[in-house]
Formats: sequence, structure tokens, C-alpha cells
Amino acid sequence: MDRKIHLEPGPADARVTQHLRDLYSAPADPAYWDGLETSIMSRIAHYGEALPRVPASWWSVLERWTMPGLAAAGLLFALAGLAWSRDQAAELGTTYDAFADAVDSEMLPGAVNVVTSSRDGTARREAVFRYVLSH
Amino acid sequence: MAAPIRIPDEEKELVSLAQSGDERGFAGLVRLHQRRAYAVARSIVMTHEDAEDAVQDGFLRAHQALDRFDTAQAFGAWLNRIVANAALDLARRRKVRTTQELPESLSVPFRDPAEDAELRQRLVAALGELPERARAVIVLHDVEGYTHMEIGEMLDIPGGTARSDLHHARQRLRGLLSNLRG
Repeated sequence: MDRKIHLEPGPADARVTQHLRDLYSAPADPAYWDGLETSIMSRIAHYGEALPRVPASWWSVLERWTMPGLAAAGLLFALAGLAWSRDQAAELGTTYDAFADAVDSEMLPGAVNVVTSSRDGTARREAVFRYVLSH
Repeated sequence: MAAPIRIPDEEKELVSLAQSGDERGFAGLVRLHQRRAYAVARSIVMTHEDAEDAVQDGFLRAHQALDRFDTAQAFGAWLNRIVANAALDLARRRKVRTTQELPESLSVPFRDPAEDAELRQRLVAALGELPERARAVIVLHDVEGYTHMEIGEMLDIPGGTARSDLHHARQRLRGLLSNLRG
């Protein structure tokens, strides 16, 4: 004859429940709980020194870095702007030089070459401008 | 709308004390809640020693996160969720099950005095076969006497899920023990 252990539906099998209670029952001795409390508090004292408490919110960690972060971002922005403007100026200079060379090489006969005697690039550039504007 | 949770004054005072950094407050909370925390942990892990570890780990995690605890909540429910998670983590780490393989069938004479010992042994093995949450639900309900709602709170699942888990856990356990013959 098969003897099934009935847990469902209705009340759980009494013998199984009794065995479960035996298996899972918490210690009854009050001394055990005093000891466990001591162990827990010792563990907290031990790890509490090693580990900082979790802050109230994760962003509170970031909060401390807000001002330094903003300052660093501002500085980076300024440096990037400076680098960009230098790059732009250099590019413009190269364009001017290329243009000036082209103008030099295509100078019409009879035109006054005002830049040949000048070794200064700026003066040369200004002269090219004057030449272009006068035509 | 859910009814406001009634929190005992003693617990409120202990929480307030603990949150201000006074360890006596936290020790009081440990004293107040360690038995229930043990029951939660023990329902999930397979041994008393693991339950003790999970309880200690749970209290340590709760202490670490105490600043985040919302005082409008019941500390016990919050703690039990932490302890349940610690126990689940521990149970998952114990990948190698120490339970014995169940034989195909076993002859157990009806009302034999040895039957209880045999049943107990088989029960331990069968419980080891259950998933952690199913084991937790069946133990918390049938042994500790918690309601589905309370179990749901502890394990951070809806009460209806706890009820259905209990149904499936009982079915599974019945299946695992069904080859006991008398």
C-alpha cells in the first residue's frame, strides 16, 4: 500500500510538520541568544572600523565633489577653448600664407610688390590685404 | 491605501539611538529582533551554522545601511528583508549540496519506530532539493506560522506570490517524498 504524505490541500501532514519543527527550531537556551548578540555586536565593532557606514544616499558621495568637479570642468573648458582658438589662428595664418603665395606668384606686371622687401609675415599679410582691397 | 504601520515606542527609541551612533541602541535592536531574524535565515539555509552566519551578516549590513533606514517603516520588516537576502546569498554560495541522492524507492514498514528517523532523513534530503525561496516559504509558513503577507514582506515578494510559492513547494515536497511506501 502506498502511503503518501499529504501536504496539500488542507493542513500539512502532522508528522512532516513536526519533523520540520524539530529541524528548524531555534535554540531555546537564553544563553545562546546572549552569545549571538555579543557575536553580532563584536562583528559590527570589528567591521565597523574597517568599513565606513553606507552614506544616506549614493549621491551624497558625489555631493562632496561637486565644487572641485565644477572647477575642473571650467578649467578644462577654458583650456579647450584656448587650444581651439590657437588652432583656428594657426589655420587662418596658413590660409593667409597660401593665399599670399598665390597672389605673389600671380602678381600682374607693373604692380608694386610691397611685400618682397619685408621679412615680417604680419607686414606681408597686411600688404596682401591692402593689395586685395585695392583691386 | 495601506494603513499606517504602528511602530512600538521602544523600537523607535532604539532606532533613533542607533542612528545617532549609540551602539547601545543597535544592541537593543539586535536583542529585540534576533530570534525572528534567525527564523528567517534558518528557513532559507540548510544548517544552523549558516543561519547564524546569515543573521550576523544581515545585522552587519543593516548597521552599515542604518542611515538609509526610513523611520516610518517597521525596523523588523526592513531587517528581515536584509537577513533574507544575506541568507539567499549564502545559500547560493553553497553550490555543492551535501544532501544524499534519493534512492528510487524505499521500503518503510508502516509505524515502524525507525520510520521517523527515515522520514526525517528523507525530509532533509527533499528540503535540500527545493529552491531556496520555496524552502523559506514552506518553513516560515508551516513551522514558524507566518502569514502569506508576512512572508511576502520578509522575502520582498507579494503575498499572493508567497501563497502560490507555498502551494508549489508543498507539491514539490510531496513529490519528493511520494516514494515512501508502507
